[in-house]
Amino acid sequence: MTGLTLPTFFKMQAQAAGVATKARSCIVLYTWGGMSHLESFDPKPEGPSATRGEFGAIPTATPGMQFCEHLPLLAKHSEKLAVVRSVHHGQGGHQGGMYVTLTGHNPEGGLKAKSRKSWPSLPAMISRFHDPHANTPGAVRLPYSMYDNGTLMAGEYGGWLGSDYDPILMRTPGGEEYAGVTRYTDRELNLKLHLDSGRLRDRRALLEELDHRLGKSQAYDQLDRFRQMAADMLLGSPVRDAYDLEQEDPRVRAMYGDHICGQSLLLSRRLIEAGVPVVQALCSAGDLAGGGGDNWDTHRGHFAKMKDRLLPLFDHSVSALLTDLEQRGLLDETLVVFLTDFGRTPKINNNGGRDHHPGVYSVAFAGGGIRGGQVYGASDPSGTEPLSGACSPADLHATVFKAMGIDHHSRLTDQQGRPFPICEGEPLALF
Amino acid sequence: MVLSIRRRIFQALFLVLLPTFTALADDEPAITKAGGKVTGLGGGIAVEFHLTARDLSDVGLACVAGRTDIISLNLRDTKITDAGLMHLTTLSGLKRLHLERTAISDDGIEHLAGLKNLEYLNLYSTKITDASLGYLKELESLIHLFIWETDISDDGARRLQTALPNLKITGGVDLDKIAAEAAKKAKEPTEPMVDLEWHPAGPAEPPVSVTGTFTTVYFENKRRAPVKLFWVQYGKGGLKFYADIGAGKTLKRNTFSDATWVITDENEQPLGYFRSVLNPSRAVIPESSLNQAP
Repeated sequence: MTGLTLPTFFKMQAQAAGVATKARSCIVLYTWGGMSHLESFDPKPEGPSATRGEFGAIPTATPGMQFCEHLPLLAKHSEKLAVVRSVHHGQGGHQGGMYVTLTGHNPEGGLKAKSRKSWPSLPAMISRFHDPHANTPGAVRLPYSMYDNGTLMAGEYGGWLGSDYDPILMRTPGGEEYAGVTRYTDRELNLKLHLDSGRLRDRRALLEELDHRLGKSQAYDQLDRFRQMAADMLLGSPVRDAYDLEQEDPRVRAMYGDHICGQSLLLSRRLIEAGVPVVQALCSAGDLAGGGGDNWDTHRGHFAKMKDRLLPLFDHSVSALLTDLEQRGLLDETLVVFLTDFGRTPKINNNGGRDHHPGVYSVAFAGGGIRGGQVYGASDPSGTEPLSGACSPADLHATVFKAMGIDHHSRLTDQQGRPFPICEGEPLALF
Repeated sequence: MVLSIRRRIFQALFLVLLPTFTALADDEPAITKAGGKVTGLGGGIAVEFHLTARDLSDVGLACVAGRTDIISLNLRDTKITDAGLMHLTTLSGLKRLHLERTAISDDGIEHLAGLKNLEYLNLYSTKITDASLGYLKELESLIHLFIWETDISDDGARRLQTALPNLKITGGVDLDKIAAEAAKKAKEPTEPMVDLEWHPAGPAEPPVSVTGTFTTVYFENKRRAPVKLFWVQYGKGGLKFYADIGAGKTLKRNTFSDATWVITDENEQPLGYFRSVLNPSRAVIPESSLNQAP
């Protein structure tokens, strides 16, 4: 076995370590732009008046745990949620904040989307350890890529694992779009499956479209992989059926809400049911576009935007997902992770907004063997820095790996065969 | 090309090494032949058909009969029926059983009554009714039962709960109620449309735009001539041309709240302006403005 560098070997090795798999699949909910911890999972109704903000706090189903008053539905699910109120890192910009959140590593030097020098994203790494079933992609992203002012961001790709591990982007086929700017690139395989038109049945037509989209500059391996994906979709992959939301009970579609956020979370559930190990759903418009549109980068008019647009939609869609996973018996084998770039400043700026704040912020976990109804760590009374339980994005990664039955000390090799430890953090005691 | 050759070498290598790593599967020829996936699970095995063998029939399920080492069995979405559950009566080690979204009914549940170690039973979206309760009460180790989208009544679930106090019963939501609420809500406008105030052109400069929250303005040109639409830029407040609006025409424009939109005639003589607000709004350009002869 000397000299064996097969990716498969490392998969086997990780499994042989004897870690019992708890969660079989993972859904990452990403609130692009930086969700305010103060107006979500860490309200400060007793905080200093200068930083308290306009909203109150409401009790949840868990005694002593309070959420922002505009998350009334999620508050009923608190017994499923482990809220972490003491995450922090040192990245004050969206690109850096998203990169450290999704890769678990601080960026080194300039970042370029899809650079093979970048670290792989959390979903990409999970897909490397969890064998997808035949004809099923290892990781899927919905429904947009992350952009800031027209620039594609680095951090949500396969990085040095290679293009085989880039999570596949799928456009959610239904629901009202987010207001604001959302971009698509020809460099990505946007699986717009024209299920009604019957084009999908014409294998050649789709392959030609793929050739056209990918262009001549693409590496052959990527082309091969996309060709294979296309062929798999055509040959009756369970993913194809999962993607067709028309096959879902219309009452269940209504439960998730007629918005691309709700329909993306519904599609996430259908994809994990079809055997996709990990799905990342963006709960936001795709481009931050200077703070305009429905994203969480609320530098201006923070309170109106949170109350009228962002929080009600998030509350409804995410609550529907948790309800649905529970009633289908999927919650104990599905880990749901809430991630964001960073929190927002306690200080309210002159435009009635809150700015970027990586000093402390909140995330949450549900399902997948995580014990719900608990709060881990705390921020200080103004929500400026951790008071207890300070932890990093790398620790969140270690927690996800543990829940997924992956040894967080595992190593993965880059395309040159160099081994890297996947994680520098330690799991939080949430189990 | 080079790559595919490399791949082939890897694949060949993998096939040589395969027996070393998949010894467990090789020990289960009957189950794997039926399409099942076998994995080790603390002291026994887990067997799954739900992703790998949706065509599994009652006959195919015979491969699990007598296997007391099976701890977890997933039959979701397979084609098994009540008759197939007969093969499960001997699975005394079974703790977790997935039968959701199959064609089973009360007649099949009878076969499960002897599974004294069963802790998890998923029956959502099956045809079971209160007639199954008698058998379910026999499952004294049961910790979690899923009965969403079945015909088990609320009263029946309460009686089962009384009989098995340690059992958690997940009944799920009432979809008809949710669909009715969603349909009712869809009829109500989510955000009321408001009319924007028309500021006729005068000596005062229109205010500059300030970025706010995303919103939509529907411009309606009631004049008998086309007009031009300009946006007042941030900061210094220069004018940026956006569109022509024909006589009697409507234009939908996405913008941000607190933006100023100036209307001019075809010769770019200002007629007036609107200031956008948070709500979606209607901006009616009046038939004639003050500086025009009647």
